[in-house]
Order: sequence, then C-alpha cells, then structure tokens
Amino acid sequence: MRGASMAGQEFKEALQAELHRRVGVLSAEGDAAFGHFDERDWAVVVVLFLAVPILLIWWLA
Amino acid sequence: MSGELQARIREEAVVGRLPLLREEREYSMRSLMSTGFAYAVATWCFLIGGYSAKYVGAVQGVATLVAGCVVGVTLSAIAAALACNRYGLEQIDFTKTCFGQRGARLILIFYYINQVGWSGIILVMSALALQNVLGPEGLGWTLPAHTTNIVVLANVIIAYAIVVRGVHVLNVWNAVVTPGLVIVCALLFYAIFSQHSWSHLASLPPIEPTDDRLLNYALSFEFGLGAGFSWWPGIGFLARNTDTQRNAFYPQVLTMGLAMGVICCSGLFAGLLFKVDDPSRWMMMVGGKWFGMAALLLILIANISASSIMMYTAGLGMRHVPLFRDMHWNLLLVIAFVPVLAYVVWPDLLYQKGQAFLTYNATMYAPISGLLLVDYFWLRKQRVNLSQIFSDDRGSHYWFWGGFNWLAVICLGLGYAIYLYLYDPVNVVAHDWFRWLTASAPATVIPMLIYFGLSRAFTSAERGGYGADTAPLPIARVNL
Repeated sequence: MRGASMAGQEFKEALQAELHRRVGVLSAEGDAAFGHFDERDWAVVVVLFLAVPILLIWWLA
Repeated sequence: MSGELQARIREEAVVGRLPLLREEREYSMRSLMSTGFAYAVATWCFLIGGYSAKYVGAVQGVATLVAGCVVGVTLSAIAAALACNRYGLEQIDFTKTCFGQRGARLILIFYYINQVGWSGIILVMSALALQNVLGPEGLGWTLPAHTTNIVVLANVIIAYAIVVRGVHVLNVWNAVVTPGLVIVCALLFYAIFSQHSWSHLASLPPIEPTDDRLLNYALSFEFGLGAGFSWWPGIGFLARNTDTQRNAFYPQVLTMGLAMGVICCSGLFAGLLFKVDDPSRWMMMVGGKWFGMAALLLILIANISASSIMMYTAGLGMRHVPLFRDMHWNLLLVIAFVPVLAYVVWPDLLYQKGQAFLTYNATMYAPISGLLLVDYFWLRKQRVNLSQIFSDDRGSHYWFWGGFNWLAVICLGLGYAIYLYLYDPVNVVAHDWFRWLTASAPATVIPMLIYFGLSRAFTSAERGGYGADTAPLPIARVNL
C-alpha cells in the first residue's frame, strides 16, 4: 500500500494536494449532477420500503 | 506528477479515503444490481433462515425475513447511500458529520466488530462444511480431534494471504463464486419445492419455539431487521462508486434487502423440513450426498472469499486511526486478523452465538442509522462541507466538543440501552413490549427524536456546521 517504494513525504504532499482538488471539484458541482432524489422517491421509500412491510407484519401477527 | 504517483493516488481514491469524482465511478443501476446481488447471495443467508426456523413456520418466516431485510436495509441505506454518493465519501468519513472527528472512531469500533464477527462465523461454517464433506456423511473419513480448530486456522491463514495480495485477487475469485452460489440457491429451491408442496411447508412447525407465539414472531422479525442492518458497513463503499443518487439507493434495497430476504427463506424451509438450523448439516439432506458435498465445497470457498473482503474493508477502516494511518499494510492486516483467532480457539461456542451476533448488529446499527438520518436530512438539509470532514483543526465544523458530538454519542448510548432493555440477544430474554414493538424500532425512533430536539437547542453553524456555508475552507491539519 502506502509509502513503500516512494518517499513518504512526497506521497503525503501529493495526496493532500489531490484532496484539495477533489474537494473543490465536488463542492462546485451542483446536486443535479448526481440526479435528484425527489418527493416521488421519498413516497416510494416511505410507502413501499417501510409502511407496506410493517403493515404486512402487523397484519400477519 | 509521475505515472507511479498518479496510479497510487488513483488507488487511494478507489479503495482509500479520497473523495471519488463523478467521472471515476464505476457503477450504474445495472452494475450495482449485479454487485448487490452478488453481496446478497451470501452464505449467512442460510444461517439467518435457520435461526428463524427455530421460532416460526414458513408463512410467518417468509414475511418476517423479507420485510425485516427490506426495512433494515432501507433505514441503513437512506442517509449513508445518498450522502456517500453525493460527496464521494467513504462511510466512516460521512459519520464524522454526525458523531464528530473523534466520535466517528466509536462507530469504527462497531464497524470492525461487525466485520470480524461475521468473518469468524462464516470461517467456522466453512470448517464445519469441510468436515461434513470429509466425515461419515460425506467421504466417510474418520477425522481427528480438534479438526474444526485446525481448519478454521487454515481458513484464517488463507484469508490473510488473499487480502495481502490485494482486492484484485478477490474480484477474480468472486467471478467464479457468485454464479456458483446463485446456482446452489436455485437448486436448493428446486430440490425443496420439487419434493414438497407449499401447503406442506406451511404446515410444518418451527424447530424449537417458545411458548409465546407473538414473541416467536417478533424474534423472527428482529432477525430479518438484524440481517438488513448488518449491511450498514457496506453501503457507502458501493454508493460512493455509483453515478447517481437513485442508482446508489434502489439497487441496494432491492438486492441486499428484498433478494436477500428471499434467499434467507431457503434456510428457513430447509430448517423446517429437516429440523436442523445449521446449513453445514442440512445441505447434505436437501439434495442428496453429492449435491450436498458440492454445495458445501462451494460454501467453503465463498466464505473464505467473503471473509477476505470483510477483513480488507476492516483494514481500510483502521486507517482512520492515527496509530495505523502509516503502518505497513501487511502488518496492519496481522493486527486486524488477531481477534478472528478467537474463532480458532472457541469455534463451536462462538458459532452457536451467531444468532445473538445477528441481533447485536441491529443493536449497533439501528440507532446509528436513525441518528444519521436525522442529522443529514432534518438538520443539515443534505448540505455537508466536504473540506471540513478532512480537517482536524480545533475550530472545524465537525470538531464539536473535543472531537465528539456528545449529543449524538449520548443518543447512541440511549439507543443501545433501549435495545438491551427490550431484548437481551445473548440470553434471548425479551421484555413484554418487545412482542409488540421489537427492539430495533424503539432503539431507532426514540434516539432520533431526542437527538433532533437536543441538536436544535445546542448546536449551531460554528459548532457542527449546521446551516453554515459549504464552500471549501482552508485546512491546517489534514486528517488523511
């Protein structure tokens, strides 16, 4: 893994520079780039993945 | 930057902690469905189904396992999947926004226990599988004493050797193992339903139920929830490598929730038919000697593969601890594997506690999932300052109080206390309310509500970064 053949300090500095670059890129990107998880998705989550299974369990109890 | 340096930084992004950029991500809906299914078809499904067969029949078992897995994975995944996907974050890094820079190490301990516990259990299962292949029910050999201990030790050494060689070996291995397990599952269902009707299966009594019908039902639901919550450590690893929010979430629920619940039912049915909950025993009974031996050998390989993956991620997780941050990978893995040796010394005892360990996962991850959900959606409105996650500066957003968000830590402790008050998984002792509420539901919901109230009262933009600007800030002390 890390720092075996390469000078540890050089690698660390490169890693930190790369971190700053990536943080800048991801922070600048809008949410839309990753697709919206909108109200319809929340309805699916609450109804299909939570309410229906729990009601099924309650009904069979 | 040299080519070697670039390659190593790219590796740090894929398997380390650097945030993963959108164009670097490998999974779409289809590929995550495929990978999630490979995760779901795991041998512990056979164990979990067997645990349910002890308490409930086929109808209630199917309902509780499928519903429990879906609800458990949904609650585990909703915050972690969306946040890790949006910010390209590794899962423990994401928990820093809720528990603090140092508080996240508490979660790391649970994460590590989960990986070590499941690894140990399935390595023992592998040893028992091999014994059944070689022993009187298989090839008829007479096996010496302590065979289980020796085989578990051999399995640990093989798993270590695989992890040391890197994750690429595992990818090749899994390309063979996963299709094999899918075939075994299909053959198991075929063998069961070709010989037994559904009405016959539905009429079979559980193996060793308690006198309380409602308690049996709640226990089986708790096993399903525990199975779902057990996936919490793996959610972020997949989500950060996926292209969109929806693709990061739905496939995980459909595969590691719904599909896993269905696969667990093979263990349930086999347990009910043959009155044993251990798959290393009932495999021989379901499809005959040769099918059983082939299936057990595949399980042996699959379990070594799965435990290698878990120990690999455990090793990566340990990199969050400053002591291990710059340690040589091979030495770090030796340290990571040491607790697994307990399963070499006490294989039978710890294997029999697998049921308790399953529900222990719900104990650990139910409150964590609930708190992350409140913190990320209700309090932060899905806004995180990415730069501050990598900052150990004393005034940084996620430093809270001395590196800990004590409000979250206290609510986490409260969640555990509620869980253990309602249900003691080691001694299988349940409070009367457990029969109606389970333990996971109150251990999730009550800390969520209290945490919301406390956070509104005691945190701010300066302490916790709630409502603060999310533009990158300078970092004096990088914690990478």
